Amino acid sequence: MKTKRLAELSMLTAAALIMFIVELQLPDLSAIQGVKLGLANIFTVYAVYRFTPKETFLLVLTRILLGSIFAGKIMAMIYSLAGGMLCLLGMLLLKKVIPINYMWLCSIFGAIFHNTGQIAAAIAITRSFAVVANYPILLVTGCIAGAFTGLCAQFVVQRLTNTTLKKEKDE
Amino acid sequence: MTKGVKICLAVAVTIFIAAAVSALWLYRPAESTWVEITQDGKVLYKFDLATFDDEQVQRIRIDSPDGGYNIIEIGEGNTIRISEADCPDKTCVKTGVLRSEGVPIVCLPHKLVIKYTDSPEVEK
Repeated sequence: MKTKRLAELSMLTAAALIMFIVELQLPDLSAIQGVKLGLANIFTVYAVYRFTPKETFLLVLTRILLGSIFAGKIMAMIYSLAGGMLCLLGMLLLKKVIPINYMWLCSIFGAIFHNTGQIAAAIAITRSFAVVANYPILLVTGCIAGAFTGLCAQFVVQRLTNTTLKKEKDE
Repeated sequence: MTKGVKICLAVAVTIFIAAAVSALWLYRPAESTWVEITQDGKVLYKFDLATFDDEQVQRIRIDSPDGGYNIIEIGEGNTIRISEADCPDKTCVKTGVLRSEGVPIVCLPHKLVIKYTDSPEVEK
């Protein structure tokens, strides 16, 4: 069981990393730093509902560390870490209130927390509140992106439960 | 739909609308023509864009303490933008011309911020 779980987690991390790298190759959606789909978040949302907090934490941490190294943007790692960790913390807490069939809602909050973390990190680094100006537009795009990635994760879970149920019936 | 979900949904919708409204407010066109350039929280330059020659392009080079640089261009129609930077992401260059009071041009790697500011007439 433990090995199976480890393999599953590693595969999810690898898949999240691939998504992250693929997204890097897409042209920037906007000049505002931080406006992006966050496709790797699909795996975070999925993991939040499928694995224990500790396992999810390890998945997200590994993805951010390796992702920053692969992307060659070590400076961006601080933003990713601040955003990713706050997002994870928020989603883990909200999971208690929001059931699995409202995953997309949890993901929207994840995006909100992610943007909040990034802006907080940017304030700390630039020592200026000027970056706050980007916050509202980040929240608007973040909510849309969060709903999208959340729905993706929702579909994955639905498909998985359908196939698992079918298999159990067939047996 | 449980009560918890309903509350969360209401909160999400409220945040979304509040963010959309403030984003529209922030992107309104600037009234002031004074511009401030700061690096790492310290004011480097503060000037009135209206005093610059309309047709002449002027450039300011700002060296960052960590070795990088940004070139600020004050161009036609008294506009200001960052035309060149040696950072990898070039977000500041892509931001383009400074348009509204609420949205500054920011170069995060070099901690450089260009924004509209109030005219210092009160201080004079």
